[in-house]
Amino acid sequence: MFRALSTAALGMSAQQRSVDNIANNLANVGTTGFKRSTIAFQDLFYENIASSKLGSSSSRSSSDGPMLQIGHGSRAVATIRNFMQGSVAETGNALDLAISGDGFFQVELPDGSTAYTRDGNFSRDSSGLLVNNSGLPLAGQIEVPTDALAIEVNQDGTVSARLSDNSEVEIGQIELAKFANSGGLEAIGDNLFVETESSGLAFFGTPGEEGFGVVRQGYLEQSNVDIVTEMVRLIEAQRAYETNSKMVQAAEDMMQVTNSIKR
Amino acid sequence: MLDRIYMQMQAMQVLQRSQDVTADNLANINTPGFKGNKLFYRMVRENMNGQEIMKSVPMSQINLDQGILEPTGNVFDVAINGSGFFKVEQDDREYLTRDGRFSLNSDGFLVNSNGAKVLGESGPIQLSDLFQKNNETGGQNVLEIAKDGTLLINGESRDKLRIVNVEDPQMLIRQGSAYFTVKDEIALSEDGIGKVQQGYFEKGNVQPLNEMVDMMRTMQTFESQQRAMKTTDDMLSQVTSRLGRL
Repeated sequence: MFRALSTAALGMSAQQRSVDNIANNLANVGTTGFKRSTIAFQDLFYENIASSKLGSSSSRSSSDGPMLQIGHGSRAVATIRNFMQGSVAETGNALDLAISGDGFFQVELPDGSTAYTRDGNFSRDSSGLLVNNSGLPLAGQIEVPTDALAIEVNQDGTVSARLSDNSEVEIGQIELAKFANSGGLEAIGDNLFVETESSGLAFFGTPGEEGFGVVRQGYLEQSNVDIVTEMVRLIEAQRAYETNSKMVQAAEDMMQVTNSIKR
Repeated sequence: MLDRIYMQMQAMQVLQRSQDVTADNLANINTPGFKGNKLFYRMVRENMNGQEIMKSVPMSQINLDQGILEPTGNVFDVAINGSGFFKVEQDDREYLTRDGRFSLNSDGFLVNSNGAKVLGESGPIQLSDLFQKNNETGGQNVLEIAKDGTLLINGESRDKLRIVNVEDPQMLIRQGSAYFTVKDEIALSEDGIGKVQQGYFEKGNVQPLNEMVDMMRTMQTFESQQRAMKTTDDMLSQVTSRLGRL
């Protein structure tokens, strides 16, 4: 039967994956600290057709290899995340933190392990701990005194509180984490990433030092989804989908022609 | 007369194959590092029952035109601007590829998305230093890839991407997963290699417009071939019915 039909169908389903992924990027265009991803495609294996199979009996030596190679289509193989800096927007909220440069905030998961995030939308919970908006505590367990009037976070990550008697006390230090291969991090939702074998172990450091970014108080990092880029990708995927559907049609037409050889 | 119908059948089979090739090109429009397949026909002279006949046989050739380079900002993404192929090793076999979206695996080896190790001047490239802190500054080690493929960690040369050139596309055999092999090692050369670009990947080089034109042309030829076959069939049936009347 026609291989073109299934090849084009595989092409369509690969492009569909791409559209799904673009939809997810676009849905997260307003998500704080979101990092966009792209789908990676690969071609499938090839069938090698020797000249003899095509009805040619001419004696070409076998070292010439196959004369005709026909592929089986494409498939989506991986999701590649892009950790480029998103734009930073001012919120004025003292507990909104953005990292300008490299690095991740660390939050403690309920099972005791650490997750990493670029989303610096923190708040105080009932016991005064700094937590993210899913209620997970910032690593280092920074506790804000109950009589604190204002909280100040420096660019180097030191957190201090001004108390009611106008004295200032340092209440903690925010450490950032970095990875050799941040592309290998696994997204677990809720703006969180966890380390994997391919991301490597985290390096920890003080903001502003050793290539780590600085912490900016009163700002939030926006999603790094660029609508124009996504739209261009969407056009690409949609057109590719369309061309492949045309191929399905053409293959079908050819089958019809074949069927009408004999009336 | 039956010879003719047999030849027409073969022509239709060949056209089907060429549609398969176009379908594969179209399915891979957005596949990075993909090189389109060009189909062309070659006339061969054949001896059939003492009669010399000409016949066209399709051959595929890999179109090695440069694909567009797209920036990603990822330090492990590399693309070759110009000719050349990266060498990777998977299951003890060496392959050539233009798809340079690499990453590090847990052992610090530079690998592609299939997990194949990327080869350097002396075997697989290992960059486990990147997992460790810099001894002097205590900071992170930085990888830089120069235009000639040299891998530098903190400015110090560590290894070099093994890049080879294949000038004759006829020597290449596709293996899928963006891999190629060569028919003969002689085809490999070190000359005329393009520049390595870090932070980019190469898009596929399929031109949808050309493929659509090919698709329509194949379609139409297929249809005319079918008409011709019908005519032959009609003639055959007339021959048989008229001869039967005698």
